[in-house]
Amino acid sequence: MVARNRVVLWVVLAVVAIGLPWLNNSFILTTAIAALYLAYQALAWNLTGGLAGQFSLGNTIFIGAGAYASTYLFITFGVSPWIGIWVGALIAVMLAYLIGLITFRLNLRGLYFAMVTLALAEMAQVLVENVPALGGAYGLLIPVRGTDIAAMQFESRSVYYYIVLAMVVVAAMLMTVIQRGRVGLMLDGLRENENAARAVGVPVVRNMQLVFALSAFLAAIGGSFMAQYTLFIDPKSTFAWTEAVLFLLPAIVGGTRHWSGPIIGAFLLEVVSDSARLAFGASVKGLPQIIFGIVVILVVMRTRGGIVEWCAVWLRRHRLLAAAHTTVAEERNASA
Amino acid sequence: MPLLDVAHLSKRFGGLLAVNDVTFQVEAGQILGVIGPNGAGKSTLFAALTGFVPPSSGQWMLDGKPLQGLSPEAICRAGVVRTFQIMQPFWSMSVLENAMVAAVHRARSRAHAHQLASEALECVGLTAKQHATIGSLTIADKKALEMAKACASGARVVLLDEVMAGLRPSEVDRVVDTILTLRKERQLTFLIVEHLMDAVMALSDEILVLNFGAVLAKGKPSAIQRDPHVLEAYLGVAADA
Repeated sequence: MVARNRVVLWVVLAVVAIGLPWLNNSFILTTAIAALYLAYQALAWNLTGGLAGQFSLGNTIFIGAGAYASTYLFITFGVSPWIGIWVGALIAVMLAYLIGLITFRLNLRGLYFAMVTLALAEMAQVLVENVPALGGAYGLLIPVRGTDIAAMQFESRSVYYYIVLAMVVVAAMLMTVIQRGRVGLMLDGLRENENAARAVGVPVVRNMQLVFALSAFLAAIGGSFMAQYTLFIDPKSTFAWTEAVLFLLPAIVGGTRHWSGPIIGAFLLEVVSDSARLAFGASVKGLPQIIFGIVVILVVMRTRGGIVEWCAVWLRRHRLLAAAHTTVAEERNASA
Repeated sequence: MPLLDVAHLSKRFGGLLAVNDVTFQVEAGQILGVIGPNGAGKSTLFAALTGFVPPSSGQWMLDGKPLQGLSPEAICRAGVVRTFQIMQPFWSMSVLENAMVAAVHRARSRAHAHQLASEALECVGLTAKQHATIGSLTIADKKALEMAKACASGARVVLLDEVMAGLRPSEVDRVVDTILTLRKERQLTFLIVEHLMDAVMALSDEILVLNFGAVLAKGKPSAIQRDPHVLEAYLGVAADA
């Protein structure tokens, strides 16, 4: 019964996800791409933020590394973004390794990690603004080529949609594989009680370096994708700390302990923010942001641990109650 | 060659010399009781030996391999593990998962960690409660779990910090049994900080007495019980009175 429900759910999800572009509704498609990208970056953030419990406020560094690497290589040397993506991801992994060295190894974890990554993201913005080759404060425009597969440009939005959909699937699978493996177990111990975990031999630096590097890898690929989608990047919007916060909210709202958390959180937040903007954006200045803020506060207040955790607890209670009712009914039948 | 060799270990906290030039050896398979009045430096000694508190000076070696300067996790993997005076289970996990976290660093896979953890739980008699939550365990079970974690970690030397405190006599007997079982079946070596004199005297092959951070005496329990310096430290009686 439960297994069959699960199969039905998966089939419906797959049909909706794959069939969405056939609706031929560009508004829905644009919203879906935005939500999926949000979900993807939240999943990337969640590897460090959720699994290791280390709140990075500097994932924009890696997103920027990806965006700038693929764009710069394409504009300056004509290197295909399909190659530039991997260059950006590699740079991001190296940056994450260096940042991990100065944070995890020097015991700058928890709040200090958040502060250091935030500061480094601000530094990255200033740095890029002062490098003329990277477009300085004005940013870089990617020349439009129409549909050109080698340049990773497509006139049809559906292609971008399928790419980001595949990215979300891969990120969710990666998170689940880590969670269910040895590293996931070690991170569970470290997150819950670092000293107790270290006392029984769980290495703290190596595990955190690993998930941070993977997180950076995913974030950079996302950055390259976004650059190809918008065909424009600039330091201010790439490295803004509000972006970093935006990408961790879906995980907090949806839940950090299951791959579906960041995805559900992303779609909820995207729909809320888009509807608020559509309804009040033109009439009352600032109201959409206020509505967005209130929704975030309400959800976080009502569902400790995120929507997914809250649903799981509710389902368990529901099933226990149902089981109890069945037992009572059976006993009544037996005695009758 | 002794298994654990501690030489001139000192730890200074500002003006306080918590551990003062402590030197001692532990043979493989030995149970060494570490006693001393409150504030004698027993817990600090354990914290230093397991890398949680960097010592001010001194060396210590396991099987000839120096351990100073290593992180707690590296020292555990080298073979010295501690339990905490205030128990530190992973509250949100089951008993089995707790032991799995301790075993995972030396496991090939999660399944292997599961197997190592099950074996450790069996040694301490927690197999029946492996799926229980930590909150539902008695104090004695929680202490047994701490020992299971130490055992699952694969270390050869286990430092037990007040693992019998707050237990009823029958539960103390269970802890003693567990320690003896682990020594016999796993060839583990123990350092035990304990205030329950009867148990520690009965269990230990040798006793190390600390006072104001320094070694006051080391020897067989029977000799320690008659040592005038030890009596003075504990009872405040002058040695020649």
